[in-house]
This record gives sequence, structure tokens and C-alpha cells, in this order.
Amino acid sequence: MVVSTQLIILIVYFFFIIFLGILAMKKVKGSEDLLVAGRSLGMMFVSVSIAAEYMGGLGTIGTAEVAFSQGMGVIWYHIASACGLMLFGFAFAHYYRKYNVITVPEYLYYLYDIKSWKAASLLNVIGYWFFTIIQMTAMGSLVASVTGFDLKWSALICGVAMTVYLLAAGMWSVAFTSVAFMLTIGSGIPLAFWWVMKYEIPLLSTSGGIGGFAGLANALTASGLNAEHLLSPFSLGFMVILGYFLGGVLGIPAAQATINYSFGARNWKVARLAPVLAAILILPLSIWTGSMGLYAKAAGLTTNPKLALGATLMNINPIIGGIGIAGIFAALVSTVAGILFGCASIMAKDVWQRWLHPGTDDKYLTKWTRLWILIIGVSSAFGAMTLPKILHQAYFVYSIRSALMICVAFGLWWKAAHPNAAFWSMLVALVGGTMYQFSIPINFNAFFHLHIAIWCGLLSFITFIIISLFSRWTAQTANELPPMVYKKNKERR
Amino acid sequence: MYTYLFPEFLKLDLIIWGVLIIVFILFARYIHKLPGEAILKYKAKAIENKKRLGIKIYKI
Repeated sequence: MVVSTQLIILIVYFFFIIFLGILAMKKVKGSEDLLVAGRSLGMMFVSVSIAAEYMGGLGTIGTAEVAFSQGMGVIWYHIASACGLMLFGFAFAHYYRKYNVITVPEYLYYLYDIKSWKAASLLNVIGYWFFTIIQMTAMGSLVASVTGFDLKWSALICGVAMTVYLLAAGMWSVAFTSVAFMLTIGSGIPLAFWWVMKYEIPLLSTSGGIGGFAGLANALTASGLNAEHLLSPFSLGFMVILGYFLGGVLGIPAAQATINYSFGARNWKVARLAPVLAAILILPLSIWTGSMGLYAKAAGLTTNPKLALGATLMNINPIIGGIGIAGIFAALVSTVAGILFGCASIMAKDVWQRWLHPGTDDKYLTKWTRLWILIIGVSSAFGAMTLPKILHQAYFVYSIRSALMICVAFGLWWKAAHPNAAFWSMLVALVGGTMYQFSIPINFNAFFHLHIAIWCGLLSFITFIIISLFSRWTAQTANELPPMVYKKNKERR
Repeated sequence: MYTYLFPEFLKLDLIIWGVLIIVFILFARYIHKLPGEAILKYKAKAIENKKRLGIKIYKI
């Protein structure tokens, strides 16, 4: 193990986060405090939590990876995500908040019926469970690259630490730490970007001794690359940019992990406004990470695109690099925490309390929520440690959130939206997504070149319209009554 | 020699950032001006659908 300055900064930061999470513990008195922070989060907590959750491994290491191989066109990733968040704020947030929902599937219950709610709960739990495993693997690989620890053990340690900190205070833990995360991401990554641009690029023999993008362009040209193309905002091509936009718009308004902080907002005004502020916060991230990815390429620090950002940060001034690595670490931790927490809330609230054990009262729900955080967290940590790579592909179930978004949007704004359509469009998206992911029976990707989330969204969109038009409304439609426990809860309040 | 010191994409991004901040300020003002119970006026399609079907509506 190599003890570097970066490692020391990271370890100190790690304990600081766990300390913050445990500090939030005294705020928790009932299940509502654990699940939605007592619905008392203010503007800062909500917007920062949403932004921090959204800036995950894909938004930092992933964007640097794309920039490393395909150029700065990757800035559209966060512009598109910002559009998705704004759409959520303008058009969806107040509906969710008005119904006092805790999970997205729960909202489908209000819009449709019991079977859509059950289907959505199951799909969400499976998708997020796998996604937690993947994100824990990503976090483990970052820690492994800094510490020189074994990848498997890093994944396990990170996963267990995340579980402990979520167990302490649920959404309060996340909200508390998100502010620290945002400060770290918002200072560490731009600081590292500035350092690279101002001091590292002139040091490259090929840059002509000048800094900034001019020096970067010189260095790229000297490596035999097309600098004009790599530095163009359109280097990825129109279709990829369109894909980012569709992915952002389809992916965010029904993604439990991203938007559940809006459910914890103090009132509907905060719930609406906070996602718009979060959109502004995430916007510039890919400029910074993308430029550092390109620097890694120009300086020849690595040949593996996935390591571009990490290699840059390990090769610059150790303090600046350490703060930058802490920033990426914060981005990963906040995403893992958000996803693990989203998965556990759906499991505890929807599957466990509403569906399987309608008699569970509030005191026990708090215990069950904690138990589910523990089960999902520890099993995912072990999963990140041991599961073979191929199983990681199952995370595509997570793309089902685009089908959920279609269901929510139709339910809100289309009078003819039929409960059967909601159920079947989710099912078709799942089956179609499986076929797409595993190329059964043909390689669809070769024909359509679509991201799987867009593919699932498209399938569910078509299915929804067709089934809605051909289903008849009768008194038997959606005639199952909600579980009694819900009514009791509401009366008591 | 390239002149990338303030490249095109950075300008583009700054413009988008500026637009977003303006939108945020306008939206914040709009939301702030709405009365607290304005949320009740938004149509709840779920309730509408259930009313149409004659399904029992639980108070939310």
C-alpha cells in the first residue's frame, strides 16, 4: 500500500462523512423522519441533495472517459441532465409533493391501480438493487486506485461504511452530508481543473509552454490527434446529443433515488424550485471533468479511458489532486447513498409495509426500514465483492425508470390513461429491455443504436397508447381498494 | 497556433448557464407570488379518474 497525500485526504474525508451521518441521528424519531426527513427539508438541503445524488460515477469518471476517447462533446451530458431536472421541477414535483408520496410506485397507485403499483415496486427494487452493486463496485475501484488495496476489499469496505451511515438517520444523513459533498465536488473538481489548465498544461513539452485550451490543443495536435475535433462541442455528433437529451428527460422525473429529496421538501414550493436550482449546480461539471480527461490523453498518462480522471488527479499537485479525488469520492458516495436509500424506501414502504405486512405500524416501519437498508447495503457490498461481471449487466432493469416516467406523465395529463396500459407498458419495457440488453434473438443495438433507457421508454410509450385506446373503462377497472393501513395512517395524522 | 483560450463550447455553456439562472430567478419569483393554497387548484387527474369510475377516494 502506497501512503500518498491523496490517500490521507481521502481517509480523513471518509471518517468526516460517517461522522456527519451519525450526527444527524438525533433528528430521527419516526419512520417519516427516516424516509423523508420529516418533510421538513429546506431549499438548500433539497437542491444540494438532488445535485449531489445526480453527480455520480457516470457524471464524473464517465464524462472524463468519454472526453478522453471522443472529445468535449460530452458537455451535453450535463446540459441534458439539467433539462431533465428542470422538467421535473416545472411539471412533476408539485404533484408528487401534493400527494405526500414517499416513493414513485406509491404515486402510480394514486394514478392507476394496485397492479401497476406492485409491478413498479418490484421493478424498482430489483433495478436499484443491481444499480447499488454497480455503484459500490465503482466506488471500490476508485478507492482501490488511490490506496492500492485489493479491489474486492475496497468495494466491501465502502459498501459497509455507506450502510452504516445510512442506518444512522436515513434521509437526514444524506441531506447533512450532501452539503459537505457539494462543497467538496464544487471546490475540488473545479480547483483541479483550474490547476491543470494553468500549471500542468504549460509543463507539457508539446504544449508550447502556454496554458489553457490553447496549450491543450497544441499538445493534442502534437500527439497526432485532431484537436479541432476533440475540442468541438459537437464532437459526439447529433444522435448522441439527442440521446443524452432523451435520457435526461426520460430518466429523471421518475427516478426514485434522484427525486426523493423533493418528497422531503418543506412545502410544494420548495419541491418545485429545488430541482431547478440543482440543474444549475450540475451544469458545468462535464466541462471540468471532460477537460481533465483530455489532459490525460494529451499528456499520455494512461491508455485506459476509465482511468483518465483518476490518472490526472494522481499526477498533479498532491493536495489539489487529493481534494479533487475527495470530490469524485463525494460524487460516488452521494449516488450510492441515494440509490441504496431509494431502494430501501421502496422495499420497506411499498413492498414490506403496504403489500406484504399491511399491519406494520410506524414504530416497526422505522425498524424495518433500517433492517432493509442493512440487508440491501450488506448484500450489495458482498455483491460488489464477488458477483461476476456478467451479472452486472442486469442493471439495465434500472432503465425501467423511463417506462415509469411515461406512466406518470400519461397518468397526469392524458384523460384516457388506463390502468392496464400502465401495467403492460412496464412489463413490455422489461421484456423488451431484456431482449435488447442480451441480444435475444437478434442484436437490436446494431439496428437501432439507442440507449437502453430510451429503448424502454419508446416501447412503453407505444404500448401505453395502444392499450389505453383499446381498453374500456368499466366499474371493475381499478376496483381494488387501497390497503387499510394507509387510511389509518392518514386518519391519525 | 490555435486560439482556443476562450473556446466556443465554453461560451455556449456559459450562455446556457446564464439562461438557466435567469429561468431560476423568474421561476422563483413566480412561485413566491403564488398563494400557499395554489397547489389545491392544480387538477389531480388521479382523483378525476377515480371519480369517473366511482371508486372510493381516500383523502390525501
